[in-house]
Amino acid sequence: MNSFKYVFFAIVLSVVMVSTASAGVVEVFVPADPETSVMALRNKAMTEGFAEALLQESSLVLPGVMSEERGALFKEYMVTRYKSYIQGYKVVSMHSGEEGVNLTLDVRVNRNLLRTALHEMGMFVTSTEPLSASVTWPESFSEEQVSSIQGFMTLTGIRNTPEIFPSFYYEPGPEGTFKGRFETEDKEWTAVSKDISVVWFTLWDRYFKQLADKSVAKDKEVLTVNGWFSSDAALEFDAMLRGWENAVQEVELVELDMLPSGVGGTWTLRYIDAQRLRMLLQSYLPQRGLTYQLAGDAAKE
Amino acid sequence: MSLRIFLLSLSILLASPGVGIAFDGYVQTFESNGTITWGNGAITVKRAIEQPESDKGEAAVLDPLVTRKAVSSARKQMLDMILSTRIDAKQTVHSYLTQEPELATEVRGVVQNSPLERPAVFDGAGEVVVSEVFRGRLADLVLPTTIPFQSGIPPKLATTHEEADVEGAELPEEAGGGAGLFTGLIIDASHLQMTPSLTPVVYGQDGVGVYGAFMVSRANAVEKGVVAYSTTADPLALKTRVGNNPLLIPASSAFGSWRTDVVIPTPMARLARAILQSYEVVANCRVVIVMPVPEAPEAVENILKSEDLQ
Repeated sequence: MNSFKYVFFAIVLSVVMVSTASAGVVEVFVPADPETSVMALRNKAMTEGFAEALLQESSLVLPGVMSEERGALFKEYMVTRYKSYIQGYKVVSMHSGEEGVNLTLDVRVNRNLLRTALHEMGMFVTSTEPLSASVTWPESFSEEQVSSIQGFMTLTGIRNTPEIFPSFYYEPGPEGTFKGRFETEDKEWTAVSKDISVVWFTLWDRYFKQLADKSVAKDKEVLTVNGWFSSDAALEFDAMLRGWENAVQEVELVELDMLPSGVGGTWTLRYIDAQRLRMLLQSYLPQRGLTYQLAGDAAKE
Repeated sequence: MSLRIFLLSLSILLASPGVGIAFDGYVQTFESNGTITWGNGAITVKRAIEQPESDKGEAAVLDPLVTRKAVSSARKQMLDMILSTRIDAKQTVHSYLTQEPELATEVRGVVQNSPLERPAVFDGAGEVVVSEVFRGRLADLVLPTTIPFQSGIPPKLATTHEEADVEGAELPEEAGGGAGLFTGLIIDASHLQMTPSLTPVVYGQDGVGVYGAFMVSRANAVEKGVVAYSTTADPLALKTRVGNNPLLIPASSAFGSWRTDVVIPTPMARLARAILQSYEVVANCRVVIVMPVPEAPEAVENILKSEDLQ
């Protein structure tokens, strides 16, 4: 009987560990270039490794699958922005030869920060289906600039559809800058920068943030758990729940009830995978003598 | 025909002792109702529910408050057992956590959330069983971050036990049969008084560490335990931990003020170091220390109870 019990613990433990893992091994190869030093090649391999790790992590977090082209653009975007999302890394192996540099990196990604960034980039909205929007630019834009805009559209997941909202207009700005104007049914924002990409991402970030804010209230689920004998136990579960990153996000402990009959807690959260959350709750709570209820479900023991 | 052969092979496989069976290992008993099983890290405390009889002399329906009291008391005992566990020769979990109040709170949270078995309300009486495991989250909390896991730098004893002609200096005996590669180490300390700990060190008689936290990654120590403790040196029983062909090493002595570490003869230490070059052996912490079989506390307790009745 005991053996079964510990096998069960091991299964639960492994489920929990899998759900909190955010490290991954990536391999990159940077071909040799006669005009680039070995040190520069190695540095390039490192940055590409970080970008690749972020792409791998994003594919675990996002509900849809990124196309190869979009993945390549995502890596290109992250090559200059990866730093804040990398918690740590270990060089598993690095070999420099005549053909180039082979690098294997074990990278630990800050999944929460990455998830926020993906939200702001609109990836959660457009990873399964592109968003129809109108994007226009002046005829005076060079081929290179137009190509950049098309890349932005692919990365953000925009299907260019004339004369609909939201609408994005590139306009020539003062003194060699770019100006962007973003229109929705009820709002208009502008941004100016010398960097054409900054204009794009600033305005789309703002749009997707607003979209997320609107959806938060209606998407949040409520979880109540009862049966603890101390508040330490409820706080331990709070930490555990936040660690189930493949199942839930934006977990917030909103109420802790200290009653003579025991301690109960109420959380708000958003599903990433509702079925996975139910499985984790069912494997963790009842065997600890706790009951729980997800709003809309019957109480479970 | 092939089905018959398959079924016959399957039944022989299932009937073979020790095949694929996880071992529990050395069981340390606390107050007769609490145990730490050092093979798999399981911690268990049982506590009887003292349910007062009703006025009519019948067992009443279980009062939730009585159950709660028993669970709280069992969990408190479990916390005491965890705190009294030695991390190494220098410190216990308690001495470490007194310096880390936030971790202490988290450990209390883990214990308060420990899995629980209790009788049904209408059973009237019974016992509650709370359990945890010194692996995963709990191990991660109680193993100090200051321990230099996988540093590759072996600790050294201040005094060495080097002897010119030591017992067991002859060629080692293979424990598992066959001349293949050794798949793990069984260190037989069953003739020594030892205290189990979470990160023991195996020293050679030259005073240099052979195996311990300095060889193992923190992640592997957390998930598997640096070593497992057993009361048997039978390779079949320990197969899940040390593989098919472990090397059996007789321990020379125990070391440390709490006798948490173990010393092995120099030639064995040399061979052990060679075996520990294997990634598989180290990554899976394939080292078992064999402890003396403890006296059965239940038997002692039964005697005492019998005497009380007279």
